[in-house]
Amino acid sequence: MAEKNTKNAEDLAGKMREVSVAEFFEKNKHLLGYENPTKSLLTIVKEGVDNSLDACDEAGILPNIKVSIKEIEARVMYDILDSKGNDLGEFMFDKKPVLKIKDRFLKLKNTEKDTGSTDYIFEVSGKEYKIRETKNEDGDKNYQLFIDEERAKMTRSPLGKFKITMEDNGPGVMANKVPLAFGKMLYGSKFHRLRQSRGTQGIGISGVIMYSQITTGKSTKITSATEKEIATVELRVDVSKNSAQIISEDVVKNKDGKTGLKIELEAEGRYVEKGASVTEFLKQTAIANPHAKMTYEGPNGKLVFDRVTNQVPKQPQEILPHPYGVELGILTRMAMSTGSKSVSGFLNNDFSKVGDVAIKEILKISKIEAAAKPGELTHEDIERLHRAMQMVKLQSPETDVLSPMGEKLIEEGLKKEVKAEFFVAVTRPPAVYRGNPFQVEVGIAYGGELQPEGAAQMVRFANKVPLLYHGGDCATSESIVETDWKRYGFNQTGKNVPTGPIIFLVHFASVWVPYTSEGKQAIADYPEIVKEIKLALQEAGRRISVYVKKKGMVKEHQKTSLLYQRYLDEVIKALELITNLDKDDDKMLRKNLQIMAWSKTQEAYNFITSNYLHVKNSEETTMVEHHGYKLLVSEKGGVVGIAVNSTHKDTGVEDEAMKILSSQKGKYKKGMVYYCDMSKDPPEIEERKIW
Amino acid sequence: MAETTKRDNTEKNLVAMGRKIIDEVKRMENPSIDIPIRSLSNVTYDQKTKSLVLGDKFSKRHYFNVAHAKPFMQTLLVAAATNGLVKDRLHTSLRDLFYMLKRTIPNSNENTFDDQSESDAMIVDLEVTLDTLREKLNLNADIRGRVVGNVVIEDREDEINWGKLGSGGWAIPSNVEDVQIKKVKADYILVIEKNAAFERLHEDKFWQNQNCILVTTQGQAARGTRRLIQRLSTEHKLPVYIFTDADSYGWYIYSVIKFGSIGLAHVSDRLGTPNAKFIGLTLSDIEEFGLQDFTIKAEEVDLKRAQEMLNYEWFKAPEWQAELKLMLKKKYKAELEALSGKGLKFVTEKYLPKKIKSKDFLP
Repeated sequence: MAEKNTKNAEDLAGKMREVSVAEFFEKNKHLLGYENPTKSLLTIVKEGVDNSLDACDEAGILPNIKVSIKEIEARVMYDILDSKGNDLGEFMFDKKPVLKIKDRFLKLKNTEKDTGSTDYIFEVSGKEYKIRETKNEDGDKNYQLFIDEERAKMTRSPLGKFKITMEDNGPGVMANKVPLAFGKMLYGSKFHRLRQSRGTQGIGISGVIMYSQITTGKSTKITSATEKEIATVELRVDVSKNSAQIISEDVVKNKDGKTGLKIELEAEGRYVEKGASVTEFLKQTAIANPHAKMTYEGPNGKLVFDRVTNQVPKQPQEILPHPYGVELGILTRMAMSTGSKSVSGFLNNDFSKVGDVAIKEILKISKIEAAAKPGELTHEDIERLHRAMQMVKLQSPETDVLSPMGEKLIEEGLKKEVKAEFFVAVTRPPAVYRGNPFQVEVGIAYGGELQPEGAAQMVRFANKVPLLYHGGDCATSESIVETDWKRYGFNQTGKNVPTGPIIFLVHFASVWVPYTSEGKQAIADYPEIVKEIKLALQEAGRRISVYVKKKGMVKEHQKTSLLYQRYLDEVIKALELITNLDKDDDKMLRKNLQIMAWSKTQEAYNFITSNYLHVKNSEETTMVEHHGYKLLVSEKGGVVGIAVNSTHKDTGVEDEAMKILSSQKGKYKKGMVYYCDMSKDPPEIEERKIW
Repeated sequence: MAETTKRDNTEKNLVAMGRKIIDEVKRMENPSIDIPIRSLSNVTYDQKTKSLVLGDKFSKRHYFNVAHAKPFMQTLLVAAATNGLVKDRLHTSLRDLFYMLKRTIPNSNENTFDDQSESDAMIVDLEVTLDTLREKLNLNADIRGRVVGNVVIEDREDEINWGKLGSGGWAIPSNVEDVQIKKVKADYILVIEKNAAFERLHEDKFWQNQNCILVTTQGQAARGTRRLIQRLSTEHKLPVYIFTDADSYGWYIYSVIKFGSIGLAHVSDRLGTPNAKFIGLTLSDIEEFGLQDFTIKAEEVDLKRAQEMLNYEWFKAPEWQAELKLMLKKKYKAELEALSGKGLKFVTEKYLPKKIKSKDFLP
């Protein structure tokens, strides 16, 4: 969670001292990510993982994070998705089996028992849906779906109580700080210092513990290993005192010096794997944090997100707020809690880029004495001060305090989790909105196994944290639809998201993320921000368009190369019928036509092959002409090759190709045949060394 | 019989076309089929025979050419299929042939033919290439057109009297080569573009009263209908009068029956009836019979077509030039039904008798 909410929450908490924190939590849980069981489970994981990554980054440790979610007492529920991942329906087993397909409850027609399994058969408009119930050795029931005898995919999406374990290899928390860090809400709030972080200062993890306690009545177990000691603490939040209530505590010496933090708790929720889900959150987190290794064990099995770089990201720097970005409420709290004795000292010490000249001017405009005590300013004084601060001319804040992901790691992160053909990334130089430094980064993945049709997917991050909700209201979406993508070779109608096998990644890094609402899932559309996102998207568009256009050309060539091959059999068969060919003529016809087809399309094969060799091996190739045939020569030198359609293996064409290639022996060190499978998209290249 | 030699030639030409391709492949040459061009650029109007004649321009259809590969394959498929039909002495329709050949090419999601218009075009290509008739390839064209009159014919050993077939008349088959015309009692043939007008005349016993044969083409005349008109006219020396809408499309129907068409110029001699005359409707008739109230505004396409026809050699007769120019000037047209505006029997009792009596025809 970002600063703005913390401030609000703290303001609220400050005003409602008498009201119990539990009540405060209960009343505000929709703001804190606990409005429904599905989102609650995601919020728990998100708070834990964000904290772990922040802690590791701060300590300069390569994160190794483990998350597990186990059902304890959950209702059997399954989501049914079609092959494209669209929602088809759900299956529940409460007292009896209930199957819902496309919002329609199906009637149970029959139950068939067999040794070890029970089949529940539903029927609708001639289609048979069969749910097969089996038990494993532990007596746990498992369900499988068959639609007209064909196995269909169901993912467990239980509703009920879960045990959630989150573990990292971070620096740990000192034993004596554990109760404060985990059991006291709003602890450690440092709203008057700004720093790019994953956020959630103060309320995040204690909110998790509170939620667990409210929904299950159970306490939370924290195991914290610092270099010297290992503390195992079981605690609850004492709701009347807003402090930790220690159930048990045990501190031992850390013998092997391995550090880390482990949180174990139970909570109510609903587990899903579609849409905004724990798995999607982890996948996107893995993209934005390629230096982290994450292991996840959930109701549907295990997932491992591997580390692709050993480089710890650059540390973001803390800076003082810039007057242009300070809101009135914050200014009030800063004035109340400052260590400075005078207003001039307060302006000088607690803000960035406010020099002597600026101080004099601010004081003059706001008509406040330089020596006035900040804590004694009236509300009106502060309002005048706030206005004056916006009026004076100030230098922009320092911008090299941010920690972007960087172009290389965005590409690596995408490559790791997304099966696309081409990747580009753009990191813009830092810019400033309302006194806050920020930086925009964009990545585009294109082609390959991405959905060839439909709107492009969008992956959004704020300070490396995935934003999974309210995509439509975000400055990123606004910038994407307002960019002219046709110019870069994408399909786009009007001001819509372009369509095709595309994923857009947008990362917004700032010391202060301007969310549109308390939901903290969409970035506000300040003109400076939209402008920067658009510039980044345009640059990325320019870079990817080279590939998009090349791919279009490859497709054209592919079509040509397949064309002659495709009709050959039809032509030969027709000629056989017309002329009563003898066997020798038939053989000759086939061989000659294939060789001609090959030589006519040589250029297309070569074009495709050299393009994909380039992608595969970063090998630049040129073509040399040899007796009317084009040969590929690698720029690394010494390698000569010829491209052959893989369907031409063991035909006259292969012999012909070998003959041509062999005539080059002696001139080149290495001779290669590249078998190109044109029926695949992208074409697959198989290499065979001839000498 | 001439019939047999023609068919033998067709078969011989087919095999020769296949052998030529095989020889080219043997020499590692790009295999090709020579197809006479069937467009205005290769069609001339022969003043002497009064028919459209195909020129000697060829286009080469190569297999190794991105744009030709598929039509090349399609031509061969049609050739192989018709070769089979001729050998087995089987007949089939254009539609059946399309379905015989339509299939998905293995390892692709492409069809050999997507649409019947594709296979129809290949059949005409083959006809021209082999210098034969589709009937000789054992292919039947669409059945369209009907006839009534005092005529007795024999078709597949059935004797048929066109005057005793009730309200429907005789449906003209696509192939009339084997129909024997046994007895004809008529002074002329009246060919009507529209079915409705044909039925009006039939109901009014026009053919009995006027002693003529009534034919309806039901739109553009099918090959069987054109051949039948030609045969009746030449074999029995009957004048032919053609009666169409007063618009560029109606007039073009007339010209196809008389001179032949651009697309089938290679068979004009077998399908055209050069002595046919145009009885109406002309735009001059509109004025003469006071039908101004029953005209329709000409559309852009009508005017465009009229403009094109002004340039056709076979519309160069001054009467036709005047009609076409009149249409471009007045920008209206009239359908046969306009004549009913003067009363249902106006056509049969006034208009046609008057026209025929005064020999008020267009060439």
